[in-house]
Amino acid sequence: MPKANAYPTKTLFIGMLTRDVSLEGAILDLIDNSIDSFLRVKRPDFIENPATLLQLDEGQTITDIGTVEIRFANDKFEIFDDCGGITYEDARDNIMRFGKVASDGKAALSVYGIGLKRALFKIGKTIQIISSHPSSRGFRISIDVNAWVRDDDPDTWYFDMKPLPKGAIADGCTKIVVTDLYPEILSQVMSGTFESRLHESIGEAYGLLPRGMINIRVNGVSVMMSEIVIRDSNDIKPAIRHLSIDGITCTVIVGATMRSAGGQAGEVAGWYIVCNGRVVLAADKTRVTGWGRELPSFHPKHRPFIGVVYFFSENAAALPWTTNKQGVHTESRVYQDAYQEMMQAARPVIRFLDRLYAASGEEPESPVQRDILRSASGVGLRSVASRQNASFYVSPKKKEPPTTVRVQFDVKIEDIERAKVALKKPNWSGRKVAAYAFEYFLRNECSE
Amino acid sequence: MLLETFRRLTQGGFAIDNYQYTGFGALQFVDIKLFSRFLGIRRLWSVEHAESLWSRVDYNKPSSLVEIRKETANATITALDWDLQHILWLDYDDTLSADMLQDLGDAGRSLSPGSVILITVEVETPEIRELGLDKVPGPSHWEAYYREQAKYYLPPSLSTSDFGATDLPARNIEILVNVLRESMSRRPSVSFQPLFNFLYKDSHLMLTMGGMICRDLELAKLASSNLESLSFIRRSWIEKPYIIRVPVITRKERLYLDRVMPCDDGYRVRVFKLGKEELEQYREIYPYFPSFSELMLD
Repeated sequence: MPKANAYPTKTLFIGMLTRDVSLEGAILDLIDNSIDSFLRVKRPDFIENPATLLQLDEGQTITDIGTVEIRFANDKFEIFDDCGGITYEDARDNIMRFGKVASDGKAALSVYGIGLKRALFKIGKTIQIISSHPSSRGFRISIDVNAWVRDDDPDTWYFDMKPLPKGAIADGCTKIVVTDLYPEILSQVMSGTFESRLHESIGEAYGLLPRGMINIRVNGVSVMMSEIVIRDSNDIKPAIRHLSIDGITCTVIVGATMRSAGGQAGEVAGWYIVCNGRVVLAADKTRVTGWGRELPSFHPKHRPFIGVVYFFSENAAALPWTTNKQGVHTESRVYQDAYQEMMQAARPVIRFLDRLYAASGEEPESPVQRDILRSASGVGLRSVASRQNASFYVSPKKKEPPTTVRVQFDVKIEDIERAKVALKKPNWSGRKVAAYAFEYFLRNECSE
Repeated sequence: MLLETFRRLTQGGFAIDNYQYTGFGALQFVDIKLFSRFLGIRRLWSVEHAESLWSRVDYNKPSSLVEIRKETANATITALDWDLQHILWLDYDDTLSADMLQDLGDAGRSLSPGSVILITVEVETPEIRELGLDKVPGPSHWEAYYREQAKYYLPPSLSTSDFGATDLPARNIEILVNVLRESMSRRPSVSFQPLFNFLYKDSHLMLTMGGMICRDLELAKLASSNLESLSFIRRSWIEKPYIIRVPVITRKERLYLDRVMPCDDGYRVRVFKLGKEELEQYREIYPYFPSFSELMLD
């Protein structure tokens, strides 16, 4: 029977693949692969049960550290890691397939088996992948994208590969080099802001992984991971909700945060959606996470608000992230169920913040509650994540803070005598003169 | 110094007299007067945003060639004719802000090749209003200020210790260079060639940076403008800024010194006491120090 050719064209395939990911997103995809490789080798327990990422004690020392080095300059992009390496067999049979292969091992962050290819085709036209795994030969895969695309024969969906002798690259390491960068990529890379933006994106995406597990450097400078803390004390405690949805573990933590070092409080406020340790939505203040819908629109008085939703699953494809891992798949049933819990946990926090900074004409501000907030120190999320389900709690303290303060200081006798003369009160005590001077200042220099 | 540079650029083939000059002339219009009188520029815009000064600016306008733009700098930049070549001097008298960076970026993205952009900002420690009177600001506050205003334009490798008072000129230079790099990154075959990087103090420590938007044609003309012989020209941002030191001397002392300039290294003034350092400072800048007759431009 005659057949109509339905084979995809390489041009369309690459075009569709690369369109919906940003350059920063593409680089994060490459880092995801490095982290997955590290976890497979050093922490397979995290792969089998990603929820254990949240159970690591805040102060626990990580002894095995993976390194990812990203470098870009002129017309070259390079990423190197020592996170385990790729076996020759995997390179030959799996990693360059477009899509996840059934025989692929589990992965925490690699979802659809396209991140690597999408990133490389996004960045440039000449690609080399070099790796060596302790258990097999090293290899080099070389791709001339233009030449590969030109040959549209269905039998040419492969890339040139050759074995490398041991020592060509250190065992357990992988290096990817892309040259002939696309003009739109080159102009981004050479702009004056790309490096800073990339630092921020990486720090945000991996900030909630266990501290020190992965050291990521960009052009030799270590990326500072974002630090999210939540206020916790005897008088104020975050809301915690644990749930399981279709086999996916979900933990919701909602409370009040504080400004990051050198930053503004408003910058960290909002919702964080985290899938298998990877932040896919950071400091969100939009309708995606309920603001302006079940919650009021985000307002400056909500700046202390923080909500973090962790989703964990050994089946990464079941998590509610978008294909480019830069957002939430809002129609996923998992997210919709979690969303209801998020809103329920958040409302008491919003009411608390509304009371702290009431608009004029409404209930008066509450200095006691503000003191409770300010005096609570910030703790890491792991410190509270293992607690049982609890609602947001603020101590119903009624004790008002003192309204007076004792002022004591020394003054030269001659100055007090001069003041007494000016006041025509030669018999006043020094204390009375000072009190009068302060009242005078308040009356004449300070607005009501 | 700017005038001498533009004279050399004219010799190198740039039709400077055909450029449009846009600056913040304030009430004195010194820049406008100098550029029109000594460079022959006839298209002159002076930007004044403060409504309280508009009537005085109108009154003090030095000639009918000057158009007063009563709007923000950004609105003026948007209105510049892209078919012309420009000298645009963003002469701010305050510490760097996000709005200033927006102005510089917009100018870099839109002005034609051959145009010269200059920017002047104050590089002393920024005022931290929310601190209150009883607290002394320090590097952490200044870091927070610059990170809020400049965000991605600051290199990621900096820490709080890089924001001491004496580090701020270098931080400002980094930020402004990154703004210009970003604006050029969207323009194929075009680069921003550094020309000026001055530090000087009148009432505050000020930084003036500038350069030219160039294609190959402008690069060739720059090369034949003999700018490298000018000690104050900076053709790379890596070079330290040229520090303009103006000695405090009277008009009478100047008239005396001008008769003996350029003096030898061992020369000493006999009729009044002037330190060796001040004499050397004057020798460095006297060719560019406008005489009072030149300054009587009204």
